[in-house]
Amino acid sequence: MADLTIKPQAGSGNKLIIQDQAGNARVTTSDAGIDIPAVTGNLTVAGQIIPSSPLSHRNMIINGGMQVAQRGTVTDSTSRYAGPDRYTSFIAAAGTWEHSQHDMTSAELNTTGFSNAYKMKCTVANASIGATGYAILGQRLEAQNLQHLKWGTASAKDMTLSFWVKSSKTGTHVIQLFHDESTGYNSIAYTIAVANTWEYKTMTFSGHPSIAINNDNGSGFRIYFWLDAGSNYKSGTLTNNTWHTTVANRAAGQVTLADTVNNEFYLTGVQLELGSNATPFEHRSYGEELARCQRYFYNIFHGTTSNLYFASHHHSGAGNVGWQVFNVPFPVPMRTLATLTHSMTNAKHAGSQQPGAGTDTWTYYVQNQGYSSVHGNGNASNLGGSGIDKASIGTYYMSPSNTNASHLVIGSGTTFTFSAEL
Amino acid sequence: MDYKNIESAKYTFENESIFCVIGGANPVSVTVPMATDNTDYIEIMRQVDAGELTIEPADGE
Repeated sequence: MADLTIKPQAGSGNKLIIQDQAGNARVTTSDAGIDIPAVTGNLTVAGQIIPSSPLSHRNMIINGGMQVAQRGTVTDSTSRYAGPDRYTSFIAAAGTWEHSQHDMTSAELNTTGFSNAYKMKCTVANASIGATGYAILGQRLEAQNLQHLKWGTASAKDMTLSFWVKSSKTGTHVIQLFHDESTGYNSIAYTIAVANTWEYKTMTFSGHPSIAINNDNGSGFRIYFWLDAGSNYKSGTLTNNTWHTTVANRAAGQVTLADTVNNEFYLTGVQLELGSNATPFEHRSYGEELARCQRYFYNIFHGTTSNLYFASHHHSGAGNVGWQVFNVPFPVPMRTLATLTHSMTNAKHAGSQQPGAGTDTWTYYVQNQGYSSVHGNGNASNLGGSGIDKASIGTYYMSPSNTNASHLVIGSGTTFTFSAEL
Repeated sequence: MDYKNIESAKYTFENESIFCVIGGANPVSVTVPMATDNTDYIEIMRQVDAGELTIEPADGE
């Protein structure tokens, strides 16, 4: 049987329409030359649906809906992870910014379909940032999760970014990819049409045809949402979706969000997917998103306001100088050995409790590296060791003042986090 | 990690990590494992190479 070809008449706007017996259009091509039909009504497929891009796990961005925010609100004038998880700011000589998880109003939820957003608010302005200044919100993506993009080959895949954005400033804003395996940039400009109003944007980036992404746990590439840029980054010409190495072309045309106090930039619904079309946002549960985030950052006090109790591996006698080691298991294996950050001091630290006795206060003698360290430095012992799935934390030279110790308590008012961020 | 407010840095016992005291508005203690894919360790070594930071040797036990 020979092929049967039906096509609309030549000319823009001419469509191919298949009608039912009542004369209703049931299948309509979008336009001449476009091979994606718009189907009115249900579509039943007797055979398999075989897509060219994945139906699930499409979104390469973690925490695209900004649900998870283990760090809370942070204000700073330098680059750092802050606000919703996995996003980092890149800031230099471009004012001071408050990073927070924004709770959407009912009207915002109605518009965007999201309950949270990343909010950056300028608290100290810099109306004339220097040539090297910049303010950027971005996310680094782990290299081994990007191998399907086939960068560095003749089959390098396109990918499409979609997101909701709200900015104090109308005009040109810039999205830029930053290839972490080389000096390579790819920028696309978009326009904020109305100030302080949610707008949905999509754009498609070409894959890098000549420089591969290493198959490891480092950063493969970054996505930059520019907020402000010094002349070093914007004095050139921006050519949309072109890989280049010219610094001056990275953010050409970018508006200056750092120039006025209380300027704001909101972002949510960030999705980066294979192919040239944006699909509806792939909503993941809070638990799924939290677990993905905890590969990179774990706050042991996230989700609790109670003190945390740890069984320890050594029993220090009353009044005796001793040490203890306790294990902190991680909810998911972390990307690499993690950095421990804590705010415990002699005045704000763990207590200990002997069954039947009241809560006591330890005295920490800050010797050697201090009272705690990752990797089981419980004096000469290494009980359990540390890895990407747990940390063994040793206390150093502490003395229970008037009772024996049975376990450690870390007060809920303290910071106690592990970071393996990219 | 608040790199700009590192007040002191010292190798820990057995040189397994670097213990830093961070000042500023929210002082914290930070222990950075000496893992070459830990980005905090990479940044600390960059500061050392640039002459911006000195890491004290570990104390004896």
